[in-house]
Amino acid sequence: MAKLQKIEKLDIILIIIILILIVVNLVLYTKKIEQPKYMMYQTSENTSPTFDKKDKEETQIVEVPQTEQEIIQKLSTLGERDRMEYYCGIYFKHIEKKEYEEAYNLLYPEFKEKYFPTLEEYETYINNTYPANWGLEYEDITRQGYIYVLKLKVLDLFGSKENEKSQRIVIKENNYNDFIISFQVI
Amino acid sequence: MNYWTSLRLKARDFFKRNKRKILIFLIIWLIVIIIEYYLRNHQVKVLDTPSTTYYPFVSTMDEEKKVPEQYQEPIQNLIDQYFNYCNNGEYENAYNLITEDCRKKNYPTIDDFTNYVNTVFEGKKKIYNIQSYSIVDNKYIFNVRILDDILANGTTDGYYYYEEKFVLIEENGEIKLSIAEYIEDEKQEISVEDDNLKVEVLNKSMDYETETYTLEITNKTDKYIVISDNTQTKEISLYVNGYERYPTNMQVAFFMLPPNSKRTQELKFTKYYDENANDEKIVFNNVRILKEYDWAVGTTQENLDNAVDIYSVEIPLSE
Repeated sequence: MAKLQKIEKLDIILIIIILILIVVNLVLYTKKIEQPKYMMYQTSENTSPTFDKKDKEETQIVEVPQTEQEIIQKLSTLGERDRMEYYCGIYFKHIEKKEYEEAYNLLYPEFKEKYFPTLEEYETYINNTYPANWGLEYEDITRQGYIYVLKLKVLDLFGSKENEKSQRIVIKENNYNDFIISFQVI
Repeated sequence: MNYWTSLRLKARDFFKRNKRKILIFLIIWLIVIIIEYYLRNHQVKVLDTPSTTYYPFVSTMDEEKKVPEQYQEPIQNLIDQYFNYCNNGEYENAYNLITEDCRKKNYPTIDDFTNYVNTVFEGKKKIYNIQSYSIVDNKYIFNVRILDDILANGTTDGYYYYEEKFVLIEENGEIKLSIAEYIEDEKQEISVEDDNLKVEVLNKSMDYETETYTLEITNKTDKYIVISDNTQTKEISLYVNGYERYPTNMQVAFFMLPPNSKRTQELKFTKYYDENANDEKIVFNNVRILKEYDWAVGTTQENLDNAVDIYSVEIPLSE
């Protein structure tokens, strides 16, 4: 009888362990599928941030980090060129989404003061400068100490090639995901 | 026996039969979960500061060479202070940061220096960046790029820079600033004499790309002495490690002494300060002792035919 009780206790312990493991795994799995997996289809004309070195015209699927910590972690694995393109992408993403204030807040204070003292002036400039459907093509990057100058082409996606514009973007990275930006007023 | 009792008995039998297997399976499962948990929460070490390919204190010419750490901050501070003064128009303060030799050589007066600053800074606020270029003994040669504040103007006014070499000289633990590529002057005490002339090497002035010898030549004769008037080939040579170099400042200059006269002449040669090569001698390859000479015409065949003497003079150098 004692032996039988011992066996029963062992069975119960095993069942409890199995149940715990099932619950733990279910929780982990649920968390995993709840986490959204963003996909960005990138081409050479893409304006979105990129984390992978890409060949022109090559389409890639990139998982975008979500939290500040994840972004910093990801940025810390990138070279300076990729980080600058990422920052540039963040800025233009704001413009694309018409989040002018967010984009404006990324600008270097002296630059803002000199060229766009008010958000309205900045908005007007953006709307007058960039075509309705535009894309960007990174052409070149140079470094001046800790300041980076990216040269890019602003493409008019549905317009003529004559509407293409060249523009330089100046970026200074203070730390991971902490940067200031200015641009060549064209 | 009801259904639940039967199920419980079957389960118990099953567990009894497969206890060991189940335990092993559970242990493996547990290990997998622990590993997964560890990997999920294991943070990749994030560098304190973002990585960059900018290493201002590593020499471009020789990446093995680096400005010693104890001088990096003083150098950065000194250059920073210099630029702040220049940007704020505090010319005298900026002037005082430069070595006395450099001031004497390049900007004898504060006005000369002010003109230089105004030319380089174009009356605008400038930013700069430095890059160690070469290190020779206690001299740290930096490439300094001076450009508009591109963050403030977004390169709207253009994207260009002016570049020159600054030389940071360490003396007794103190860092001194020399600008416009100027390195130093070395007094020379070399003298060569024959029956016709006396040559004294007085000074050697070094910039990063050039060196200039100052010579004093005395004509001891009552004839004309022509050393260089560009009528002959290779009239003056500097031998560096067995190879000849020719002065860069004599293409249109006359190096001639009237009878019983004395003159000072500078001879400038291209030689990089970090070449690590020895100056061996200066040679006047075609010294002409002439009875007659017309500087407007130069040495003629007739002059040569009637020359008192034509020979070469070697001036050994101290190095």
